[in-house]
Amino acid sequence: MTSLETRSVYEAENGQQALEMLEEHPVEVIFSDINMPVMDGAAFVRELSHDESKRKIPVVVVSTDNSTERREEMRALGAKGYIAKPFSPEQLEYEVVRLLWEASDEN
Amino acid sequence: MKTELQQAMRGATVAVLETMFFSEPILQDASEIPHINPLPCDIECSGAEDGIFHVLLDHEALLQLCRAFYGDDEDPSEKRQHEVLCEFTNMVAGSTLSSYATLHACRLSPPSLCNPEPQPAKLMTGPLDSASVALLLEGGVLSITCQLRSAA
Repeated sequence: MTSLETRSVYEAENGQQALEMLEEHPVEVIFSDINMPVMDGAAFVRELSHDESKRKIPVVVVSTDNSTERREEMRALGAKGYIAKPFSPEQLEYEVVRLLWEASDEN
Repeated sequence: MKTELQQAMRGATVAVLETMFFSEPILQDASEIPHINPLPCDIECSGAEDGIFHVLLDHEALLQLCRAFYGDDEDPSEKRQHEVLCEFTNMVAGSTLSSYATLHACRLSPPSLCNPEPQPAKLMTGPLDSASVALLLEGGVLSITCQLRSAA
């Protein structure tokens, strides 16, 4: 598999900005916080799931909220992964590799 | 209550420092060491717990955390410094509430850079829980205070 270090990373400050950036930059994985201004993580994941061209992009939620309730809420909205803060670089890398692997399996 | 909150906040602070910033406190109690050029950040919570977290971090210590986080040797921009301080505050508050209360029933405000003096808790009735942590990090002192009132 291609090294993760060769991939590009795009940063958005909120869900709305992320949606706009996705029009310009197709991506393989999205990491999203929940508590964001303008458009929060829940609204962002919900918007993505309604967009035919973007609904297959896996979203990993990254949040300080490690409750079962929040995890289930975000999975129900369409998130494919969930990382609780604080997290190690290895946890992040594992999620990226896992999702890329699953995506290549589906193809 | 105070001891439980104190333990939750201390545990959360150390976990955030070690996991996200690869840093360990040099001293576990720096309450007698004065701050030098501290930067403040507040985050409020509402819902199951009402209250405020107030972080003071010496500027040089913040620079060290930024370098550890970004893996850069150069001094980070002011924008990055503020982002790191805000995210650090967010993670400490969220992790504390995760172990002390039910975080999913709380709402955290966006972290805000603020007055170095901790603001009195907003008008709240009933008993308050409070806790404070003061650690010596590489570069300076980190102190965190919080006041919470359970809505239950």
